[in-house]
Amino acid sequence: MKTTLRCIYCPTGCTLDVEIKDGRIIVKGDRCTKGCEYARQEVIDPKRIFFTVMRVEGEEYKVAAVRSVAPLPKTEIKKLNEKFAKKHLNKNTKVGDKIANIHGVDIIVTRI
Amino acid sequence: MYDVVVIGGGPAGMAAALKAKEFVDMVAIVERNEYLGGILPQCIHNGFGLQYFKEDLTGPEFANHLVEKVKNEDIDLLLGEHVDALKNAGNFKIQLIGGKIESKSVIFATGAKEKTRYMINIPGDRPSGVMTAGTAQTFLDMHGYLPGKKVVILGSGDIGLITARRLAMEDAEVLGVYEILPYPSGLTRNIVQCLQDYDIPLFLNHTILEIKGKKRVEKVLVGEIKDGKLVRKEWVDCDTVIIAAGLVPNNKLLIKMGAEMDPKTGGPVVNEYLETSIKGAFSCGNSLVINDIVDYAVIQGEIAGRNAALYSKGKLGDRKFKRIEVGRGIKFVMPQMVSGEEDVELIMRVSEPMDTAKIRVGDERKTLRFVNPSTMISFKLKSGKLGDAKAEVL
Ligand SMILES: Cc1cc2nc3c(=O)[nH]c(=O)nc-3n(C[C@H](O)[C@H](O)[C@H](O)COP(=O)(O)OP(=O)(O)OC[C@H]3O[C@@H](n4cnc5c(N)ncnc54)[C@H](O)[C@@H]3O)c2cc1C
Repeated sequence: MKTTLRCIYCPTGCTLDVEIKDGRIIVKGDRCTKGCEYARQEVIDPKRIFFTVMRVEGEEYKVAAVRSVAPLPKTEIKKLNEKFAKKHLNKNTKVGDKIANIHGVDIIVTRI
Repeated sequence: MYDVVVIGGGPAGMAAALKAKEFVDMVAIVERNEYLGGILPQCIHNGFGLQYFKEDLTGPEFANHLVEKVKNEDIDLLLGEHVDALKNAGNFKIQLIGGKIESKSVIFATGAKEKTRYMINIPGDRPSGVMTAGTAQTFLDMHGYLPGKKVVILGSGDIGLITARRLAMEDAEVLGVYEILPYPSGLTRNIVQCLQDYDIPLFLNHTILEIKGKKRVEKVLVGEIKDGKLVRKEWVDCDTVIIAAGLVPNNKLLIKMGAEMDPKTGGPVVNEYLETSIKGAFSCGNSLVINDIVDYAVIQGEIAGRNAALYSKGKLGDRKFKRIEVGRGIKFVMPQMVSGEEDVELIMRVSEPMDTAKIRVGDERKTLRFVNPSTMISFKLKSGKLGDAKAEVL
């Protein structure tokens, strides 16, 4: 199977030609190792960094921002977003605090 | 008396102040918000800092890295302040709301503004529900309120794409991104991860012809344009129109002072020191040129910071500059004035999409594949290679 992907790792946006042959994944067109990693992951199980906003206890007009420290399965991002939208962060939470762990990946606070 | 005063405390301004502080003592940042960071705190997505910090960060995290450094230095932070007037009388006399300060040099790092509905002239009613992408982003990601439920996006700039994704994540219906050009103006990675990931259609060669609605937006008339002619039009029901038509450098103060401007970049004309036509006044970041990524803005900040500091010490070399001639296929080149005495990183954009672009500047050449005007090109011009100072696509 052959397919063409556009790398999303950095703003360069390399065009990647990916071929799956005898169970091996061959990537061409990448200009760095991240491109190759991205293409392999993208054909097996696409993943994305998850990020969203969360309400903070006692705050009406201000939300905190959180993200996953590593990519999570793309198909689960929307469900995760719903889950986090329902929760409130404690107002003593600080930037960098771990607030959850999904499939072994920490969710950290990026702005509060 | 300050050595360097930086106007604007976004990433470019913070980088400028930090660099200047390595050379001189008296440095200040004037920022009209109560916080540092510029536009970054509201950009909660990842994709920042891959070049500069070699890390994939979100906007707030990128800003924090710089804010921490600034706070560890003895740099005066004049927050919630606004430059009312600026006079150039040997030294710069800067009128703030809270008083007057004086400086030997100034750096403009005032960022950019989004184009509004009125700057791109969409006729029709004036209901609520028409806003820029940055405003929609502020509603959603700073305050936690969904700005609309059935959304149409005009323009395919990165801010629009990023906002489209967040709206879709929050279950708003994003009906489509309408772009008048035959190619998207945002980065490819954002077409993939913001539109394709969420099945949001991108309509190239399309625009919004009219907005209808009594109180709130009710529908828009979208049209397909081919070779300058309207070939199809259709009403689309929606409650929100988001304008993502790009950014315009914010240079009110510099223009008032009479600095020479470059109509192609919207920023001032600068030499390789990033000094404007007004001696001792420097520029960097999005107020100098609209940067695709924050890393470039920060690098410009460092260049301006170093040179403003040297200027304040009377140590900035006096060079003869040649103006780069912008030739065929090139939209702009920044800096506009180059000496050829040292290596310089030119920033440019091409004027139309090309599969292969052989770019020449003076005696230096570089071949690039798949470029269009929305890709910022960085071109290293080595010392002694300035030649005829012409930039063109061969
Ligand atoms: C929605 C969005 C998404 C983006 N996504 C990415 C991305 O994924 N990756 C990436 O690398 N880059 C991204 N960028 C680009 C990046 O944010 C910019 O390149 C960067 O913020 C430019 O920095 P700056 O310091 O020049 O301007 P700004 O961040 O705009 O800062 C300018 C500062 O100047 C202040 N100011 C203006 N006028 C005055 C005055 N008269 N007196 C005092 N203060 C003043 C403003 O308040 C502001 O704080 C994005 C930008 C936006 C808007």
